[in-house]
Amino acid sequence: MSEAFQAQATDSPDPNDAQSEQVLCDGVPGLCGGVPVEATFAEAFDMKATRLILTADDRRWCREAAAAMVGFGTSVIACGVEIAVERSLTENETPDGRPGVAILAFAVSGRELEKQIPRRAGQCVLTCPTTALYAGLAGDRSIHPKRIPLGQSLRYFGDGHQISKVLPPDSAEDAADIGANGDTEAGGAGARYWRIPVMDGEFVCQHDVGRVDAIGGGNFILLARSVSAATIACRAAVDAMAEMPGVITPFPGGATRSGSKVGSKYPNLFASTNDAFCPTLRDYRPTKLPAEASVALEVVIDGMSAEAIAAAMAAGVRAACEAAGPDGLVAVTAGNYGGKLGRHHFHLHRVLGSPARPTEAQP
Amino acid sequence: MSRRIELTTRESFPPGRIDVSAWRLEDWLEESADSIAKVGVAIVGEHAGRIGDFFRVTTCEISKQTPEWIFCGDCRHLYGLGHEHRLGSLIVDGDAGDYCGSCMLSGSIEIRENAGDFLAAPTGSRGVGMRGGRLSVRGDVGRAAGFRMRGGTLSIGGDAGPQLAGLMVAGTITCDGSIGRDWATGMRRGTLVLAHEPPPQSAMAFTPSRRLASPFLSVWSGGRFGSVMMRRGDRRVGGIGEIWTPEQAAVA
Repeated sequence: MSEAFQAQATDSPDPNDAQSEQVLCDGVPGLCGGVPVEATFAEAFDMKATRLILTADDRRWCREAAAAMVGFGTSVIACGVEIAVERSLTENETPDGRPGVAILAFAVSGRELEKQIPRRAGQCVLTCPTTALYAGLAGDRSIHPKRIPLGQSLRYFGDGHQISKVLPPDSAEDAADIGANGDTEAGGAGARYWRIPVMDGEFVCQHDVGRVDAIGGGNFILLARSVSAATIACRAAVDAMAEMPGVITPFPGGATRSGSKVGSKYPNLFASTNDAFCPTLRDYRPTKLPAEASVALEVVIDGMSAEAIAAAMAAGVRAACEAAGPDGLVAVTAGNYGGKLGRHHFHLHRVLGSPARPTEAQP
Repeated sequence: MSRRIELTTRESFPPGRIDVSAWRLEDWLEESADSIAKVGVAIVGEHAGRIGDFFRVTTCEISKQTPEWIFCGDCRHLYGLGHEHRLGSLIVDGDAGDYCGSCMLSGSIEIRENAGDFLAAPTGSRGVGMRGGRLSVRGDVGRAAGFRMRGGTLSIGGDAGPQLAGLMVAGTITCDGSIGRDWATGMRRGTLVLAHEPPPQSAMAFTPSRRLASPFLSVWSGGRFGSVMMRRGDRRVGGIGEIWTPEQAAVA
């Protein structure tokens, strides 16, 4: 299915989409929950990603460690990594039988992930009482040859008292890939764990975690009549996507008001405010805001696959339109750069067009 | 697809010890049963013979990805079976002799009855025993099992003789039965997991037993337990190996 989206890479925005007769959520062409959905597309980019599983003795320590780990991880523009909690995990879903969370991290390069993840793990997870950190992508080097160090780096904190253990694949269960498909690939060589003595006992940490190709920058923009309506719509969208596997919405609360365009009048900035959606500039700059809209908020989605992003976009747009309705939302659109920068294009009408199989849209 | 090579002992199995430490499964994978049967063997103190004189050899294709090497019958006379084993599964459907799994590297060895002395130990002048893989014994093992072990997992379902885990450097040994004297002497690292309290050891050798609660225990045991009693040592050599015993055993 990814190929279907990649095949759209060469598409320019299709002018015929404007007259699209695509039937969306409520059976009316171009409408979802009574809200017009523009015939445009979200432009997304190739990224590198990994998944981590963070556990702790109780849910509170777990949340606090996760909050620290994903802090300042909204955008690769300045944070280096886009990182957020993917979903909560029950005791049955974690390697050590404790409450946990799955965290997804995305970066523009593997090298950046290799820099960011150990740094955050060391300062935010190792430091938090009772926590442990495991690989969330099953498989050893034979499956994921590109690796991000975890315990491989952190072990030195043990000052020689650290202990490593390699568990056979079947006993370790390879920390179980808790991915979208629930697939579990047994790593052939088993997994190495590090036990680092700390002041509450031991910090347990897997040696490393694989990284995979992924997609960042799936999005939709909610054009609302008021801030309160935009807030209602955004929160409904983010709630609808919150527990969906394989995706994160890395901005605060899942949405951003500072959607950006490429470039700036200042040569050292490569992104600046998306002036076409700024209501205070509409009278003297070209605008994409409809006359009735006074607020635009963007929901940005990073995902492990095109299918995951498409499914999340569909769920998010539907929930937003249903929550705010036409009285709150003027329209739904998406951010793109003319199709020239990112090779993954998520056409809103196609994503929303087939509720049962939202990723089957074809170029 | 892979292959299974099965050797079943014949009535003519010799009383003398056969050194099989040069046998490698990977060397036989391309050979037919007849070719394998013609491989010569040296019987200590006796004249040479061929594998076919003492074993019935069969081969077949199997759907598993890794090959299987199966020995059926009493194999106590085989010395060094599974030496430097590195590929696939070696199964001994009977007793195994001395130095079984010596210098093992990876893969698995399963012994369905008892094993002799120096299980997973080094041979000759080598300084390192088992380095990787999984070796399991359903029954008892002789003395010096896991001697100089440096990696992998050795599981003993029955009792272990004296000098278990001597000079152990790394890896994990579990023993569900009782163990003999002089256990873990000179142990530097690694983990010895015991189902019962071991015989008394020099007070200089290991730290007092203390409770260890770690998420790793749940990972390691598949959630069966979350805490154990732990000693560290052998302190006489500056070792920081671990001896785990169940909490109730230590209390008793």
